[in-house]
Amino acid sequence: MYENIITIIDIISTCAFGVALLFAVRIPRSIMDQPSKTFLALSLGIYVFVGLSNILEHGQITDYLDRYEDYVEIFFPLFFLYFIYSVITRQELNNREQAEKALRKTLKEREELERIVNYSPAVVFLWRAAEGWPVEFVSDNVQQYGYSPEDFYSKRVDFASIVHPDDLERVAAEVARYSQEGRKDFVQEYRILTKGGEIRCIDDHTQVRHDSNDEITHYQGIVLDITERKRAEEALRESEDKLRNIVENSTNMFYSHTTDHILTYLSPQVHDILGYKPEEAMVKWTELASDNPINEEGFQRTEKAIKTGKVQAPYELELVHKSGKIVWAEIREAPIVENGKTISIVGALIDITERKRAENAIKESEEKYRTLIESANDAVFIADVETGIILDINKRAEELLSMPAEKIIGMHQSQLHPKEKAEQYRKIFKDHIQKGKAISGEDLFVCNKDGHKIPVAISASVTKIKGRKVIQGFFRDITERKQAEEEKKTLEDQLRQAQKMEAVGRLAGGVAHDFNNILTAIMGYSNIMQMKMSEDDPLQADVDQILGASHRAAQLTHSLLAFSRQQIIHPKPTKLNEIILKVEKLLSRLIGEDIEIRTMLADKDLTIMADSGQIEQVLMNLATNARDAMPEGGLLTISTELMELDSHFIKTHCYDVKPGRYCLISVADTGIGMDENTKKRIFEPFFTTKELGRGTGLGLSIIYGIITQHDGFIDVLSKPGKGTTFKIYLPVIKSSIEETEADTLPPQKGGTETVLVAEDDETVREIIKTILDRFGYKVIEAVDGEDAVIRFKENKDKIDLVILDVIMPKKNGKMAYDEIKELRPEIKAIFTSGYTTDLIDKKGILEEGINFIQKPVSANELLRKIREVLEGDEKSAI
Amino acid sequence: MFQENEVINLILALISILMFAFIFKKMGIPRLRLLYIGFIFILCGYLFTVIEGVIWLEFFNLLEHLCYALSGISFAAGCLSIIRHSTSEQAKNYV
Repeated sequence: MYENIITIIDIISTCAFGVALLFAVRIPRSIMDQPSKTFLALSLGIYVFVGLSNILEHGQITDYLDRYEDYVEIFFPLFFLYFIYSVITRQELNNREQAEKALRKTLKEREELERIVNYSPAVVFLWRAAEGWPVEFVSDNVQQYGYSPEDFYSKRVDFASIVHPDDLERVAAEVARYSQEGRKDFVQEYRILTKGGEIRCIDDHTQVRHDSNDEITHYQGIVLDITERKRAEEALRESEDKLRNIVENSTNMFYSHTTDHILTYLSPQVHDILGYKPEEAMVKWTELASDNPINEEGFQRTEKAIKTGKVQAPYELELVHKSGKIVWAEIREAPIVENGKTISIVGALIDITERKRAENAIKESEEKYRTLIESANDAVFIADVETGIILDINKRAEELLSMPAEKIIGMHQSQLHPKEKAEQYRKIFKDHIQKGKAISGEDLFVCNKDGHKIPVAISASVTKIKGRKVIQGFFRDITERKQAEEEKKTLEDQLRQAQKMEAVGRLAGGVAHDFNNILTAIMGYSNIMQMKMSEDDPLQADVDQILGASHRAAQLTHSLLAFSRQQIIHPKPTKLNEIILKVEKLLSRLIGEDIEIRTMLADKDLTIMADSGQIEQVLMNLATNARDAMPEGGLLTISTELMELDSHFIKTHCYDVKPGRYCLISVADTGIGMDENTKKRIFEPFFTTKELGRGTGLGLSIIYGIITQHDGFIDVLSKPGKGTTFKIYLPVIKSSIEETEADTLPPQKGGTETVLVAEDDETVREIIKTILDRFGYKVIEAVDGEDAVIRFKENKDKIDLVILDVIMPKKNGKMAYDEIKELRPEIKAIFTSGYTTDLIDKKGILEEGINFIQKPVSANELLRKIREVLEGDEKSAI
Repeated sequence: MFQENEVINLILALISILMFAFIFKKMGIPRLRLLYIGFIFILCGYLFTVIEGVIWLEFFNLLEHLCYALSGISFAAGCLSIIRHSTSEQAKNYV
C-alpha cells in the first residue's frame, strides 16, 4: 500500500516535471535567453529522470537507474543556480540596455530641444543674480545679436553689458522691485545692443530661481527680438496719429455706432457741426436726426448695411443742432464685420447745409424758372445749337403741336416747320446764330401733329445751359392775330365797299331829289293838260307818252332810292313762307318753262319784320337773274330754314349784324356761276354782265339795299359753271302777325279847306297850287320854311293843312313844322320830298305819325293823301 | 543511515539558498516565484531524505516524494505562467 502511494506520487511528480520541461522548452527567446532555458530544462530533466527511476524501481521493473539517480540529483542545485544566475545576468543586461536606450532618447531629445531653441528667435539665458548678471548659459541662437556663447562663458560679456545704457537703470530697478515683491516671473521690454552696436528691442520673459534658503540665485529668461514688432507698432502709432490728426483736423465728423445705433465714438467736429461735445452726444445715433420722414430712407440704408455687411450708397440726413436749427449732412457709412457678422458701423458725416441751401436756392430758382416757362402763354423750345435736337419744351409747346413732350423732345427743330419752309427757316436761324443776334418777332409757321400749319411769332436767342450752347425759342401762336388781321382786312374791304355803296347811294339820292322835283312838275303839268283837254284831243296821246316816260323815270329814281336805302318801307310781321309761296306762282310765269322751280320750305313758322312787297321784289330780282344765268334751262331752288347765328358765325363771316335767330332764304340756280371778281362787284349799281339793253345793273343793288334795310345780310356762293346760291339772312321776330286790311284806294276828290303849301321849288309849288285850286282848295304859298312859319302865323286860324317840302332854304320842313306846331298843336301836315333823309331814320322807317308823299307826286296821289289826312281820325292828327 | 549523495545534495542546496539570498539581496529577485517554490520543495525533499535515514523512514520518505511532486507541479505552473505572459510587456520583467 505504502509503496503504491509512493509510486503514484512519483508518477505525479514525474508527469509534473515532464510538463514543466515541455513548457520550459517552449518559453520564447524574447522572454528567456537560450542558456537560461537550457539550464532550466536540464534542472527539470534531472527530476524527470529521478521520477522515472523511482517509478521503475517501485514497479520493480529495474533499479538500474537508481544507481545514477543520486549522482544526477547532485547537479540539480548547480543547474538551477546557474539558471538563476543566467536569468539575473540577463535581467541586468536588459536593464542596462534599457538605460542606454533611455539615455540615447534623452540625448536625442536634448539635441532636438537645442535645435528648436537655436532655430527659434527666442534666446535662452541663464544668469546669476550677481553684479553684472554673469551668464551661465545661453542658447546658440544668441548669434542673431552678433555674440557667441563663448563671449558670455568666457566672462568677456555679461548680461548687463548688452542692455542699452539708457534702459539699464530702469531694467535693473524693475528686476530689483520684482525680486523684492517675490514674483516668480516677470516680463520686461527694453533695448539691447548687438555686438555690432545695433539697437534691438527685446521682450524678456524672466523666471526667478531660488536656492533652498529661498535666496535668489539665478534668473533664467527667454529673450525675444521684437524690434520689427516695435517698428510696426511705431508705424501703426504714427499712422494712427496721422489718422487721428486727419480725423480731428478734418471738417467732417467721424463716428461709429453699434448695431443698436448707440454711438461709441464721435470726433470733435461734432461740436462744430451739431453744437454738442462728443461726450454729450453719445446717444442713439437716430436721436440726433430730425423727425423729417426723409430720414427714414437713410436709416433703412444703415439697417441694410448692418444686415448685409455691405457698404451702402451715401445718403443725406437732416440733423438737429443743439440750438435747434436744422443741419443737413451727407452720410457715408461702412459696416465693420467680424466672423461674417456686423459688429458696428463707422461713418463720416459731411456738413452739406450750405450746399443744401444753395441747392434749394437753385431748385427754387429752377422751379420759378420752370413755373415761369410752364405758365408762359408762349411755347418754349430749347434746342442744341450744334445738333438742332430739341432738348426741352414747356406745356404750351405740347398744346401748340398737339403732341406729348416725349415725342417732341429728341426731334430735330426743322421737323417743327413745314417741309417746304424748313430750309428757309434754317437759314434764318443760322444767320442769326452766326451774327450772334437774337431773333425777335419773326413770323414763321410750325406744323402740329396733324400737319396743320400754325402761324407763330418767334423770339429766340442763343445761350448756354450747363456749358451746352442752346437756342431758346419762344413761339407765340398768332393764329388769332392773323385771323384778326384777316378779319380786319375783310372788314376794311367791307367798310370800303359800304362807304362806296353809301357814296353811290347818296349820289343817287341827291340826283333823285332834284330829278323828282322835275318829274313832279312834268307829271303835274301833264295831268293838268290832260284835265284841260277833251278826250278826243289829238294831243292826248302825246300827253300820255309824257306821263308814261315820267313814270318810268320815277321808277328809275325809285330804284336808286331803294338801293341807297332811302326809300320808305313799311315793315310788318310777315310769314316768310307765305311770301315765297305767293312769289312762286308769279315766278313760274316769269322765268319760263325750261327752268324748274323747287321750293323747300321750313316746317317752322318763320316770321320776320319785313315789307312783304320789298321781299317779293328781292325774290323776283333773284329769280330774274337766275333765269338769265340759265339760258339752257335748269333748276331754281328756293328754300327756307331757321338758323341760330352765334357771334362766332357772324365774326367768321364778317357781318355787321347781331347774333340771334335768323331766317335763311337760299335761292340757288344751276346756271353759269360767277368768278371771284364778278362776285365782288355784283352789288354795285349799274354793274352788269348782261348784254347791253338786257339789264339795268340795279337788280342786285336794290336787293342789297332792301336786305340791309331789313337788318339782314346777303351772302353769295358761286363758282363758274357750278351755279350760284344767294343766301339771305333775315332776323326772326316773335311778335304775332297783325292782320291788316287790304289797302283800298279811295276815289280822288277835292275840298274847300285852306292849305299852306311851303315849297322852295317854284315849279313844284305852282303845280301843287294849280291842282289844289282846281279841286276847290284855298292855297296859301310859302317859298321856304321861314316864310311858311310867317304865313301860318298870319293865317293861323284859317289854315287846315300844311304841305311842307322837307328840304327848303332857311328852315327845312321839319323845323318849320315844329314851330307851326307850337302855334297850333293840332295842325295837320303832309311832308313831300324826293330825298327823305331828314324824315326817315337810318333804317328808312318813317317816324310815327308823319304823313309823307314821295316825289314825284301825281295829282291823284296828292289829292287822295290830302283827303286822307284831313278826314283822318286823331291818329293821323299831329 | 545517511547517504553521501543525499548529504551533498542537501549541502549544495543549502549553499544554493545562501547564494540566492545573496543574489536576491544584491540584485533583486526576478519574478519567478513558482520556480522558487518548486526549488524550495526540492530542498525540502532533500531534507526529508536525510531525515528519513534517521527516524520515521516511511513518513519522511512519503513527505520527500510529496515534496518532489509538489515541486514538479510548481515548476510546471511556473513555466506555464511565463509562457502565458510572454506576449505582454510585463513578461519581460520575469527575466
